[in-house]
Amino acid sequence: MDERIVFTVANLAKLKLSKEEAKVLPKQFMDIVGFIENLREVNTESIPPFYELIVEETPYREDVVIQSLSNEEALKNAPQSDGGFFVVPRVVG
Amino acid sequence: MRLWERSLKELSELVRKKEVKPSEIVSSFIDRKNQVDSKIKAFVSYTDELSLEEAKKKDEEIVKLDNIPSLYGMPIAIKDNISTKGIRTTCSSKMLENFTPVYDATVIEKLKSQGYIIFGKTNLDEFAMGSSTENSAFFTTKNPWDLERVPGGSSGGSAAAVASGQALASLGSDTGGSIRQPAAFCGVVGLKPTYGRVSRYGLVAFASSLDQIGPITRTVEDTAILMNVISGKDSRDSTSKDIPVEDFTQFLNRDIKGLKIGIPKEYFPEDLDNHIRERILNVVKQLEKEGAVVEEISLPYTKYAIETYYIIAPSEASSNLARFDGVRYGYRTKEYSDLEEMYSKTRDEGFGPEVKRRIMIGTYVLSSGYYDAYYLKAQKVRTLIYKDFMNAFENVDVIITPTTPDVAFKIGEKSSDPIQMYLSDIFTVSVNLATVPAINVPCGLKDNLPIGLQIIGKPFDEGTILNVAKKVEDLSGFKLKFFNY
Repeated sequence: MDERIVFTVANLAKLKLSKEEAKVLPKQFMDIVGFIENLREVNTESIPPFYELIVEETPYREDVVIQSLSNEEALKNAPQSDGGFFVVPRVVG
Repeated sequence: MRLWERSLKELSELVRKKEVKPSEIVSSFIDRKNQVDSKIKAFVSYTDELSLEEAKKKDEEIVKLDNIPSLYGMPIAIKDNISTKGIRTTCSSKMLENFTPVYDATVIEKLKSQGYIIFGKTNLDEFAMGSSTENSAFFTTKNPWDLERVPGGSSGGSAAAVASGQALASLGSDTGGSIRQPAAFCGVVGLKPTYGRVSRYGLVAFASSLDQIGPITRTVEDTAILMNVISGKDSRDSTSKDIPVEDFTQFLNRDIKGLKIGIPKEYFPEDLDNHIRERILNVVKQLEKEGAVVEEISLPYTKYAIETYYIIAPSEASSNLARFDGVRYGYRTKEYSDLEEMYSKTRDEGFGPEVKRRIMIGTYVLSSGYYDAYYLKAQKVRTLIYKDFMNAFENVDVIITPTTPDVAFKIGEKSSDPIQMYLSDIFTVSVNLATVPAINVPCGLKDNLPIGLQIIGKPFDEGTILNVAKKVEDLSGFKLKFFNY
């Protein structure tokens, strides 16, 4: 694995790295990955993952109508909205 | 004694007896804040006008009240990642710099139902990712004991506001130590409740399987009073547990004769600062004199807690922070040619370096081909860490450790080395991984900086750790000092 992975990951995470970050981040990233690799030495044979230990039944609730956000409230913090909708750049040609 | 120097317990008694008006209390805290916050910088947003207005309403309302609720007229500061309706909630991030929630977190509704008064929104490491507030997109909060040092983090603003006399109490959130570590650095009490004890509804999610909201106060009793209010099942957080909430103040001052205290050897390594070690073990000796039984225990997988945490927490963060895409709320970049570019530029400009590092680590360890080696492995080690604690609690009632390996560090000392920063949480993260409750209680000074003692309890046994914390508070002789700057 080399530092190029950092740019692949940034792309997957929808993060465009600034030039300055592209200089420091790869080393920090590789250091952290190297650090978490210490876990390899732990024997986890036949140990269940934690999330299997704590599974509970799906919690049910009464099927009652509750107040949700109004259209106006839902759009209140939108960077751009129009006619009750969020506005995003055109995605179809 | 000026009003802002008193405890929540004392002030609420004064209000109940109608000897002091809520507006007098709020004014006293505003005066103190105006005096010192230009130096401490604990708050992202002040709410002076609103706080005073609320207090004046309560001045009039109280005359007609027969039963005065427990927090009536009490000014409490709120960490700025807890949703407050109509009050800007930034997470100390450029991403949410202009975000004003349209609903209250459950904990805020609960505080309101007991008559609290909001007193400002406090600074944090961006999205609660950090141990010093140096990752705040706005500014670094200063440690009230030494302005050249960090207050700890991520709830550094909440801890510093309480420790500097600017807020009576505050709420913080704790994912890997974010309440306990700043409480330790600032010489105040901070409790991380059992996972599921307090509703997370309205807490901006960082790592959902680890996050808990909890109180930061000047006294153990004040923490108990706040826990009485914020605990309990909430239908809007399906991970909150339907376990009866007892009156936590009733646990205080109980006899500790026969109480079993475990001292885990892994939390007192050879290279631990000697002053810290001696101070903690001295307090343990005092507890022994009161009748507690002390035994050495082992939590062997603690050794891997930081590594495990820095796989699980970033994984959950990378998923939780995917919602910040510049569409529904938050920051959106100014110039873009298509949707993809809008997403990536928005996220690049909106997030700071630590948040990006963690999103990227999370994305990496969850990606296909690496999932088993990192995420699944960490989940299995989390099981081992959890079992360590459950095994220990078969023989002991509480576990005592230092909260931090050392006292508050200098601003800038660790900020260029992420791993050094991560290691400052070495005694706190395993508690979140194991879901158990833990409290920081100050127990002494080293070079005029507070030393924190951590008491870890069985799941949902906050009552016992509060009782032990009260004993430590009484026996250690530590006194919170208020300074003028």
